[in-house]
Amino acid sequence: MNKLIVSALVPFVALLLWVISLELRLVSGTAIRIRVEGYDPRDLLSGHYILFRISMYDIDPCKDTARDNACVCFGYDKDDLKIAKPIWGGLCSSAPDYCVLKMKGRCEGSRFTGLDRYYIPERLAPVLQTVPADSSADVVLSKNGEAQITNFYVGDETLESYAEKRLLEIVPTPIAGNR
Amino acid sequence: MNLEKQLERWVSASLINEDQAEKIRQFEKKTPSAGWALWGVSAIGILVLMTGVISLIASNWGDIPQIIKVISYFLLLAFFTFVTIKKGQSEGLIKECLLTSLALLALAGIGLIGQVYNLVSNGYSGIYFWLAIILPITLIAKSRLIQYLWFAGFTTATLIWGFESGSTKTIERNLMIIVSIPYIWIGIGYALDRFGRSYFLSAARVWNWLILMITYTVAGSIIWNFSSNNYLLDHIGNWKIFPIVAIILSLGCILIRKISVGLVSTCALACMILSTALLFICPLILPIEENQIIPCLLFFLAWGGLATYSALNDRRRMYDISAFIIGARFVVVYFEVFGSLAATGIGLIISGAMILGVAYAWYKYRATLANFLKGVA
Repeated sequence: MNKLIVSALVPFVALLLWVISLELRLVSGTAIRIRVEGYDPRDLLSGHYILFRISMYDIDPCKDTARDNACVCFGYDKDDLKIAKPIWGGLCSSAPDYCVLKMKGRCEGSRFTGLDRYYIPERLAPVLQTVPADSSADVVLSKNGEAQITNFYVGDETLESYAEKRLLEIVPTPIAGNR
Repeated sequence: MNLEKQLERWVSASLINEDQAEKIRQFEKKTPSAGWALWGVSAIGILVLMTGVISLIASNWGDIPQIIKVISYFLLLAFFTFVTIKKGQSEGLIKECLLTSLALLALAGIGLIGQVYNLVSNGYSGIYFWLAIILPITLIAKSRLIQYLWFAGFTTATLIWGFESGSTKTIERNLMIIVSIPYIWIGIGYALDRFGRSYFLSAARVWNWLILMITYTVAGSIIWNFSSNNYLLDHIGNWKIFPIVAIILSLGCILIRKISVGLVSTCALACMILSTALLFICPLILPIEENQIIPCLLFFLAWGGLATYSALNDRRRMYDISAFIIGARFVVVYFEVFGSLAATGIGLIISGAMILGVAYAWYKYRATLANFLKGVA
């Protein structure tokens, strides 16, 4: 094989392997649902993705943590087995043994950013200027803490379904007899 | 001057005869070559085309299922890869256009995959990944566009990495690494060029010399107007050794390379390395007091080195630019020293005459100076 063939194939093979690794992570990881909320009303929608932050309740993973090595552990309350809640946060290397559902991230100031965006179709953008209340997200966590978001919910319905309904509400109704 | 005019001049000067001129014409006709205008237009065309592809992906195509987006992208990439392999066997404009398009399509793909899988971006990982997967393409390409895109991407990603990653305690360490990188690239550019001509290494040298000559000389001239930053000096610790090693490495590579243009030319390059280092790196790692004379002298040394190197290597345009910048710096020095003259009418007349004098001297003696430098070599 000459240099040209090898060089031209490298991007294709590399990107394909990347996609396969992302798919494998989704298949082999553990899926949980976590509570999310908006954190900056002026910049919730940049381009066509929603910016959110993970609800931390009273856990602060960024108190004494280096920027790139923050981790949050999730667990379930006895009375709510649907939504996983943060139970510990801090430096990844000092995570306790009970930390099985671990999410790696980084601290920007005092804000933990393990996951912070969910892409949405362009036409739904007008009704998603803010992160709706009671939002949650399905997240797949790999064993070493890498996280991928797979779905976004408002209450029990998907974000897309919620936005479609809101979109219908703002479309003006045609006046009778007007062609 | 085009080939036909040059041939006419050479025939009329009896350097070659009509038969030889005709042979040269026939040879050049057989060699496919594209003019710089065609290359330029092609480069703009590719950039616009690929910006369109990237923005199409970025606009999140409505209701298309994500798996279809990914499959469509890979089909497009496979098609471009196949065409590049098929049509790129012979050298020329088409091959260069295809290689550049493939590189930019890879960037679009990283954006698309990031979007489909909702990946968190730190700004630099994606660019480094892109640079890694297009490196083989960049190494075999001969167009300047892709080479300079690679180094522009590398510089951007490194700057983002330097100021975004790590804790606040590591910003000083990152700064030391960032300021060393141009010296390392220049060292690599000269050291590896001994093993064969490479467009990539040539771009590495040009791009990083540009950073040293423009960014470092200007930033260094400003920094010397203030005393050292004690906070920085207290926090860099042993990381100050990193730029020193990088400077020694680049100097060593310049001095031991196979010198084709002589000792003076090599000394000019070494002078540029040392003066930019003293101008910009020295105030970052050593305690200095505010000074205006030292940075001025170092600035002249750096640009004088480039003017000398350009004169010795028959790079006339580069020599003119260097000489002009030295002249402009003289004017700045004049106003720094005699700034109060500009407040009066007589002072303005004297200043204007001074500027005109510098401009005239530069215009009149630049060729003489270039010949003198060649004579010294």
